[in-house]
Amino acid sequence: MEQGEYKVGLDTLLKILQCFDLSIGDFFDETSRANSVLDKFRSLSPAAQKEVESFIEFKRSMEGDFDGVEGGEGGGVDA
Amino acid sequence: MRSHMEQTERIEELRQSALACVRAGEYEEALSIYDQALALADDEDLCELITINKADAMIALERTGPEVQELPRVIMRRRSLRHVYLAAYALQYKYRLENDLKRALFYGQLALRTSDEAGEPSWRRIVLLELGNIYELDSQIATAIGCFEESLAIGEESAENRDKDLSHSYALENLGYCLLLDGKTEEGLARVHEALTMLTDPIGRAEAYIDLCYGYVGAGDFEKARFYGECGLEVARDPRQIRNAHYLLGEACYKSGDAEAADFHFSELAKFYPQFRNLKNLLYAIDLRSMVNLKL
Repeated sequence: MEQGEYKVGLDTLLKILQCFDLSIGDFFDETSRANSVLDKFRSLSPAAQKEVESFIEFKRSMEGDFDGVEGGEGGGVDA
Repeated sequence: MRSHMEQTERIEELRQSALACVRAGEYEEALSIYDQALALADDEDLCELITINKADAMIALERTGPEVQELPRVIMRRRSLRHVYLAAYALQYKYRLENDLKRALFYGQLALRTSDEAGEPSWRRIVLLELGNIYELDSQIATAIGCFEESLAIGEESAENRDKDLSHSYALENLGYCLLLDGKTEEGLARVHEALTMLTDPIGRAEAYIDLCYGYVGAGDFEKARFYGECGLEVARDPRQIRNAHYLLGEACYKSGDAEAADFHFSELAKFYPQFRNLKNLLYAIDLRSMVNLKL
């Protein structure tokens, strides 16, 4: 159907898609949030955008370290 | 006491009167007249013919009963090619209404072979139209186009008055839509426009308007698409047609940059699916036209 080989009635198609409504909702919620963050980022000056990028890198490295410590501790206890 | 000939004439009179009721859509009245005819008929051939006719009216009412169940036996008995053709035709119609396209095609093909065996081009013309409809519903668009074109060609050759024949305009309309689906936009639009000049009933006219809306959206002529979509919406009574019209109008408005009108039509469509929270978001994000058959 996605290749246009077999077509269904609009009613049937919408009823099928309705079954996936929850995941579609998640998709649209995620997309709109990401777009909103991106719009705010684009409205900043180039210098401010650099600062934000550095801050994101800093947060990512912190979270990465934290994950590593947490994983390590868990492993230790189990051992 | 009536003579046998008078009795036969009376039965035929009743049968013709019931057939006229069927043509006028008065099915209940037709069923009652067929029962009167069956009560009088003592000839097996005639009984079988009236049984087929009555089954046809019952199928149109989406009912079943002994007469409908008798149809496969009529085919097996092969009392006459005419009866086999009529029974097979009635069964293809029954299964098409039930959306059992495999069985509908089986009986449609049987009716087609019988029309050839009998050497009756007028039977072939009618059954090709039905087969075209079934193939169209089954997404076998190229085969459907072949059926409609041959049906129309036989109609052109025959001495019958095609201008008065509703089936001719329906064949043209369906052929036009199939051509649109097949990417032959210009030819498809021309056929649907031609059909529109002949169609007089609201269902047929709404169908043609909505198909024109679909064709013009495909052609990128959103102004015409909106015009014909609105015409279709105005005459549409069938929920399927109303949904299709709102969907296509939403697409035409959205693509032409009229967000407010698009929102109106998508909202109207969304009213059919109150549980579908994100339907409008979906319609804005994805063009569903390539997945949809407007006739289903």
